Amino acid sequence: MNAFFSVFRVSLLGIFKRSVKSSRRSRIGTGAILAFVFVYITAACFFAFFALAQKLAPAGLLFLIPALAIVGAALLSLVTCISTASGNLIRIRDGDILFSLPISHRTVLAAKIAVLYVFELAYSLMLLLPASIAYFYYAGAGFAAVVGCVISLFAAPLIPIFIGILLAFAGSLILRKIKFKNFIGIILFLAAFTAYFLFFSDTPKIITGLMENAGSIRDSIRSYYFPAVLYGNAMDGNLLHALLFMAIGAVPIIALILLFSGTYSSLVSSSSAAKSGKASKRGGEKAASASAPIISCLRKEFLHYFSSMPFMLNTIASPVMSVLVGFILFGKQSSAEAVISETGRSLLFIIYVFISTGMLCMSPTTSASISLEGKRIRILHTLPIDKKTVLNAKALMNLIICTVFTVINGVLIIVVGGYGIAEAAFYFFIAESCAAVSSVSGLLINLWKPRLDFVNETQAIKQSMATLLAILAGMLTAGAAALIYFAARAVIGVPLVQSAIVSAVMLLICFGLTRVLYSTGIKKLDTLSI
Amino acid sequence: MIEIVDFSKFYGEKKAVDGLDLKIENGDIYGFIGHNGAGKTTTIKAITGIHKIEHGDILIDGVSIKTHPTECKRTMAYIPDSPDLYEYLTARRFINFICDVYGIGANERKERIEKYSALFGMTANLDDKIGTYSHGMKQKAAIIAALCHDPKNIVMDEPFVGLDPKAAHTVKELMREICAQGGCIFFSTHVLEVAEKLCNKIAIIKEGKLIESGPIDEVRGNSSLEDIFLELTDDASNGESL
Repeated sequence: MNAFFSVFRVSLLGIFKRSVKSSRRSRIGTGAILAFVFVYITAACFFAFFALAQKLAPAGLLFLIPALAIVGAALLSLVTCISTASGNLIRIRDGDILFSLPISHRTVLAAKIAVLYVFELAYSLMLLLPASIAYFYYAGAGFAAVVGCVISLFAAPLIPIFIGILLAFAGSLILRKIKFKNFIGIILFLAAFTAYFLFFSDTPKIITGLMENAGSIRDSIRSYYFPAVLYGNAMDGNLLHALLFMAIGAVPIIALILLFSGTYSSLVSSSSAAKSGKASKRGGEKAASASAPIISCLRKEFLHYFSSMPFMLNTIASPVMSVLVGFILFGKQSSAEAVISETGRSLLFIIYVFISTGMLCMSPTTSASISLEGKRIRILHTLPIDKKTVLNAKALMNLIICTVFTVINGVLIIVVGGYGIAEAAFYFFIAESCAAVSSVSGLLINLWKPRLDFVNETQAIKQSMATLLAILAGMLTAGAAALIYFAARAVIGVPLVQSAIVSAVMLLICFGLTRVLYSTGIKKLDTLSI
Repeated sequence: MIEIVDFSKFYGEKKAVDGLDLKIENGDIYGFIGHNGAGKTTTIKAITGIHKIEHGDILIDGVSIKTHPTECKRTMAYIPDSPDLYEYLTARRFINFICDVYGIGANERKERIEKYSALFGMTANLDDKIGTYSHGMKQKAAIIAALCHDPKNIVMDEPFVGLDPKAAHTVKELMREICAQGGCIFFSTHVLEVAEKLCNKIAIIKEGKLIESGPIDEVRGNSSLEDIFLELTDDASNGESL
């Protein structure tokens, strides 16, 4: 047990310790921002569930609240678990230390799963806690119900973790020998993401649908996710069902630990062997071709990007969302064309321009690209290459990715939205200039908050302060662009000129940030080491 | 005592180690030499339980690491070639983590941490994060952590890489001391002079196969270890190419 807690503590510390050189103040700041994000999302869920409960309670359909919450939390945990289990359980860098210690592989696996559980618990609490409060507010709560609720909250992530780990293990076994595994993974993720996004894109319709089909929804949940029934009963004070809910989650995980511990070290070593094999193959490709330093750096950035599933997934989701938003908004517009006025049409377009731009700017690859150098940062320091070239390549990669989506969105504006080339050009200038700003700001943020000492890439990409700050910076950039646009519109009536003004201001900001990047940023880059 | 019995390891189709038999008896300082990619690290990782043993067996003090891994590892320490430690921990916390796992009591561990950190000149740096260390300092931290649980059998992969001369000397002295107390040391190295001066036995591996092993005086005869190594490894490769 002592060994379990030691490994658990060390593994958890590896995720929470932001940087080797981080000060106490910076750690407090990190904690405060994480707490803010947790509270913000929980509060958003709180209002959503309250609004839903308000509609469902008078119709006597309150039972749908715990049912929907547990299904939602299970899906959320499942998706996050599949995407992080591989990094936290299989592609680990401390395997050699841990497997050489006198601890059973079972203990190591159990400790790593416990770390995963802590995260999944946090995710599911963000959804289940507000839902429970909303439910108890309308349904009332006795002592047994509260105890049942607490047990169930802790038990909720167990089943999704079990399924998620199985899928992640199976995925890593199946995908080990497949050449384009990253693309397959990304396509699957995007398909699931698109389905999820489209499903939740029409809230009023969902509420009406829920109310009309409450009985069949309950039956479906019962037949497809039976534990939801136990959870619902636990929320009504059935403690036996609460304990059963805990047991049917815990027992499979214990069985999984017992069954997989024998092959765990093989999975970990084969994953690292596959990694090194892949790297050497890549190194051999086009070894003879010579390129300019910027092209070479850009190629290196893209090779890293396409070889790292967490890197791609984390940065491609919001640009994809910008396309989906276009489909939804313009789709609705075409179905309501008879009633929508010309003013409404242009307002819808403007809303799309800035929402889409915000999404493009929210996850720049640059916010993790310095951190992802990790220990290899010494290579950059020792190469006879101008640091500007290195930084330009990183910024350029983000801009190229954004440009692909900007062009797609431009086509969408014309084809699905029915707008003209002028509107597409209007969008293109604004989105591209904002993307340029976010590319550079992402780099500056990452230089300010690097995470070179990551244990696995997921920590540098998903769990880093730089990524979080870059999301906020991206939203701020799009917000600033919107403000400039409205200011320009008050003075000038020609849309393309307004767009040009926004672009010019954003490019000026980009120019200013680039100056900072080339001076302070390069100095900071020079000091980065591990 | 470490006994390797008919051990083989495959990476996919490639045979990294081919039917290796080796016996490291108590009191032995056993050097393991070979070209890069010869199978040294694979063997060492199998001995220490990092790699699963699919063919053959490895016995630690007569107990199979295949069937009783935890018991075997309890008497053993492993010092890796690249000390990839937890960079976000201080050396003290890392050593405490290792001591926790080995169940070393508070007084014992305090005494040993003080002793070994003083020996390696690390006392002043114990509370710095490992991420801020140089390669040599990380290596020293790994060695201190390995020695803190008083292991009987020590397996080292290139232990002298990155160490300053004083630390290298200290490691050699400690190796002799552990063997004098009835323990055994098995280590890989590319520095043949070190192997020649330090080891009482030596094994030479090439392309996964053991090509020579035994007491160092018997292996080298009247020549130097370097001459014998080059002769044996060149012979093997010439024979294959022909």
